Amino acid sequence: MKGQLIGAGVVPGLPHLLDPKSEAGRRLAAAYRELAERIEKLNPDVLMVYSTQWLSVLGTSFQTRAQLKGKHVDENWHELGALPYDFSSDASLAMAMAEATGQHGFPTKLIDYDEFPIDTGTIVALSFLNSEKKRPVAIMSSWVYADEVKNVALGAAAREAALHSGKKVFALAITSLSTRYFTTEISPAEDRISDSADDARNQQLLGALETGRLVETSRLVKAFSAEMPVDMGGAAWHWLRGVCGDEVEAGKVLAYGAVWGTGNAVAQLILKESR
Amino acid sequence: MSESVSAGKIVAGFLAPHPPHLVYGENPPQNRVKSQGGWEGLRWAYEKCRESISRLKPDVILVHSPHWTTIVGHHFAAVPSLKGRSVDPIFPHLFQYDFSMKVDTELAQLCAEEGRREGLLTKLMTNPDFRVDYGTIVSLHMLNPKWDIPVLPISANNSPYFSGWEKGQEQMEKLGRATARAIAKSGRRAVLAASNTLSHLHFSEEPQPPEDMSREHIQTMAQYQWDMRIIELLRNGDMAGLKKVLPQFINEAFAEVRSGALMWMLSALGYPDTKAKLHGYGTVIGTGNAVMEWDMTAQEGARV
Repeated sequence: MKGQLIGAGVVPGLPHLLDPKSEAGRRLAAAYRELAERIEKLNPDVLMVYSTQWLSVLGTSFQTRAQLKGKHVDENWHELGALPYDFSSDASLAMAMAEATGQHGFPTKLIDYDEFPIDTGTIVALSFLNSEKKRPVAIMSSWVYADEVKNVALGAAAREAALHSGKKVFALAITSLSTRYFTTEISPAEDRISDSADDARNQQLLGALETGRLVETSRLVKAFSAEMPVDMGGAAWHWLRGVCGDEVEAGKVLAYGAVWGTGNAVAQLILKESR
Repeated sequence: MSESVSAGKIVAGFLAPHPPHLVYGENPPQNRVKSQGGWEGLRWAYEKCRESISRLKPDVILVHSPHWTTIVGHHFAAVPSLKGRSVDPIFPHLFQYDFSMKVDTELAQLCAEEGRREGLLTKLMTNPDFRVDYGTIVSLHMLNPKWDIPVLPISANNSPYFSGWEKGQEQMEKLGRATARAIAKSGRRAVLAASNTLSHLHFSEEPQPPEDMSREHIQTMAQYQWDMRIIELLRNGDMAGLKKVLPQFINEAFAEVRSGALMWMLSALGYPDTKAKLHGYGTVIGTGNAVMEWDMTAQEGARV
């Protein structure tokens, strides 16, 4: 049964955005809401999610628990309170993603456990983009041992599963850009990209994203990883390249800004067939 | 409590690695997953720790875990009672543990205060919904499965990874000094637990069942040789030798001690020349794990 990838997005997963106090945080939150409207217009059947904050060691994990409901306290920003979550999984798509991943020769694990910890990034993104619980999600982990080549292949496997799912799929990469956090307490007014060179690299990366050339974003993020801390070494960007293949026509950056010194963007990838 | 009336002291320190496999292999009632055993060498080593703790009768067990990672500062759990289920995100099929622990919040506050005196950024974790990480729980369970002694979980500030080895270890040294002073002020008899594996390269696939010990071995010979070298230094109380080789060990064996727990503990103990007792060594999915004890009651001049 034929499925379709109808769009993709890059979004941040830091908990501050749920109740933003800084100017950049408010812009990113507003952009998140705009992306939610854009997704609504595309009307996907399912959201495919890759979060750099769900780490796995024994290959890639896929969430197949039918209903996921609970609350989560971030291990660093616990003072922000418990983050509630309530969503359903598209277990059939998640299992198909796992099967396709296995066919690429990578180890996989299906996750179906009561009270399995859902990561902050996934909760933040779905709070904005699936707040009415309209759509099920198919979530996969970030395998810590996957390099650029493996992450592109993992994305390609997820794409194959989407294209055979019979569903309209919107893919989300939950990631920051530069991750040079401030390691001290800061006031919201003090928040900025912590290093001006990081800021320039982030903007160069987003410029490449807007051209839709994901081979270039993948190349840049790999090069930048040697010069600055990048969220999971840029894994999500490589994954996104694999997911989208050569279907991307353009990217639209809805907002870019700092959260606790790190670089973050809300962006949409517009695919050729979805125009 | 003023320093002049302090009677607190550290009575022992333990290198207390936290593979969830050890709890899984033991089959305690708190873990929802059951096994056919496995990793007995390490689990029986922990039995010796339990005997020591039973004899020492501490008031509190402090644990520094690399699986409670914090970016901004060093955090101390400061909720009187923490309860819930902790599912290991990496090995959820092995560890689904219903935890319930009493936290020494007064000592948490003292540690935070003393940390600030060292120039560290410290924070108290006061969210009652906080889910305690599996590293903290495994080390504490293996040391005291009855959970009848209050505990104090301490986060692993990620400075050794974020700011480099030297700055990170400097933070852990300060944290250790602060911890020792806080314990002295508190009047507590305290046990410290450094929740660290040694060599940390592991296999990316596990056997079925996971407790198939015919498949369990160290991942590489180099890892084993490094582990033995580190254990020998600790058994000889050679702190200078340890500090000298630690950066190389961490780089070559991907050692988890980089996260700072061992250096925190040794700093709190005053880098003792006490010969640590090796209760046992074993591998878990290819990683090297040593269960070791520093009995501070057996040595004159132990930091109090």
